[in-house]
Amino acid sequence: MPEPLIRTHNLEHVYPAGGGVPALRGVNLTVRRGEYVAIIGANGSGKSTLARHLNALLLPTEGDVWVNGWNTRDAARVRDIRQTVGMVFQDPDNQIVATVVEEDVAFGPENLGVPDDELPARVRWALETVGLSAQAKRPPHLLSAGQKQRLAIASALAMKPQCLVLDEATAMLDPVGKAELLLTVRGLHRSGTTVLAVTHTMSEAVEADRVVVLSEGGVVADGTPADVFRDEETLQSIGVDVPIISHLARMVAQRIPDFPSDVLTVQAFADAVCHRLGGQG
Amino acid sequence: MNADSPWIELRDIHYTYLRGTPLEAAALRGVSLEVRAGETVAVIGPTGSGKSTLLQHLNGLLRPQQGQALVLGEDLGNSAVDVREIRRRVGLVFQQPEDQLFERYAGDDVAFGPRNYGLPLDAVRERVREAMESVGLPFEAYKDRLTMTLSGGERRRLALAGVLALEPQMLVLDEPTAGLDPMGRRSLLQYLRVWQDEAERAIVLTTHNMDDVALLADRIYVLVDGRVVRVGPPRQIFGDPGFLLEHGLGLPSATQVVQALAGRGCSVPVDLLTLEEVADAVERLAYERV
Repeated sequence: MPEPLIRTHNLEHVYPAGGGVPALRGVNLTVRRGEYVAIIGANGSGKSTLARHLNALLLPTEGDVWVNGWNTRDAARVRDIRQTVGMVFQDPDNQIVATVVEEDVAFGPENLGVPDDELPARVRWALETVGLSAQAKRPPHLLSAGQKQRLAIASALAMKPQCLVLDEATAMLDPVGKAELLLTVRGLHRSGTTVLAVTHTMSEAVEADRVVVLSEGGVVADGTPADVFRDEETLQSIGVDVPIISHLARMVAQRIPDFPSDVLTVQAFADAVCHRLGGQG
Repeated sequence: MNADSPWIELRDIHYTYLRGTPLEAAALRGVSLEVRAGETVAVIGPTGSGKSTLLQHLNGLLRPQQGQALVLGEDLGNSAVDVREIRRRVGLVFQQPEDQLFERYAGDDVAFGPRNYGLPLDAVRERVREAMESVGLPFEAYKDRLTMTLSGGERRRLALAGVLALEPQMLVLDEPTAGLDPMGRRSLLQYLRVWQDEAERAIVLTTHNMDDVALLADRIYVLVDGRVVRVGPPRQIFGDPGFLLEHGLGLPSATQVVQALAGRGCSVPVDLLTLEEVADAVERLAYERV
């Protein structure tokens, strides 16, 4: 079996200022190349802490993390690890470094030693992918929150990572921005990029092939969206909602016998309604 | 100020960033907006439509470059007006809580406002306790936590507590539920309703989450490219989904379902707002077809 892209073993993390309470307590997670994994859980469940271990921004207090077989504790490999796993944070201000949009995008690849004649094309591609070509010459602080988030994604993309970790990257985007970004992410995934998306938006989590649920620093569920969202009560007890459509489907199922209670998307719900009711759908 | 005059009245507000430079960018191009006592007003619009700029005019963080901003009877265009009292009565919670948290300890951050307004120490402590408890950050457990170690959702609630501790009569919230987990979102929305019912209070919020808007708003302003393109109650605004989609806006879940059903020839009323209403309509549909 080939080495998985990411593997954690008994990963534990205690923040120095966290009063000894571990943010992660023994996480074992394997992500294979090409997977699209959504990581969900309540605020404070350890999602962001986990994400930050995947490109050596944080190192385990106990246990290990391997990326491409490299242990994140191996300082000599940090550069390789960060090139392999690109990271986009919740708050884009934390990762914007330059005073002009295109320079911010160029910063990463420049540091990786991408040749000068290749750089402009790569910056153009990254900005185009996130729909910011028109803003290339603007100072980042004049972008809207959503545009900043897309800039952060462009800057990560410019390093052509094998894996993209999105830490609530769509939280501040408007619906169009969200849809465009999901389309971008789906496109990147189809062309082989491994995607890990930390999200609170359950309609986004159902896009993934696999959903991992964290609670109090541990993995409490791991499976396909349909499997994971079946257990509404357990998820609610740990502060996680099911997608709003599966909630609706359950409401309808209580009133109409035989209505499928496990649909996850608007389209699947409408199909189920029209099909059951003998509509034209 | 007249008893029944609006709490907020913006008339033809214009605002341009970096005015007079080659990089100038018009954010507001003639916006008029009204908020009355007891109302919840939602401002929706695509990214970059000027929502955040508009909100900053509601408590004097920005003064109008053109047009008139009357807030609680004061004309904010008049530089002699002291905005300090306006800012206490109109509490603004930013999109990024980091923009307004700066103390080392959570409790101190919430205390900063009331302390600054000269309240005695005991009263400050009570205000802080109450504000923190009401947003779900128990005082004893959280007051000595380092602000920087709080999670995104906790920081957001802490920023809200800091504003509530000043006992405002209006809350202005920029994307209040973005980044909150579903439980956090639900309890915040519930809290906002309770807060508003306790006294005569008003809320103005921007959000991309149309389910929040459907749940909370009495009136919706649709902002596009620095202009108000539509105003109305939720049923009216969401009853024309084509218009919203055209402007890159989202739809409440209920409206999305209605659209998808209509697309399949299973028509239900177009202005349903809640999941309950959708479930009722689907049930009726089932009996009609039998």
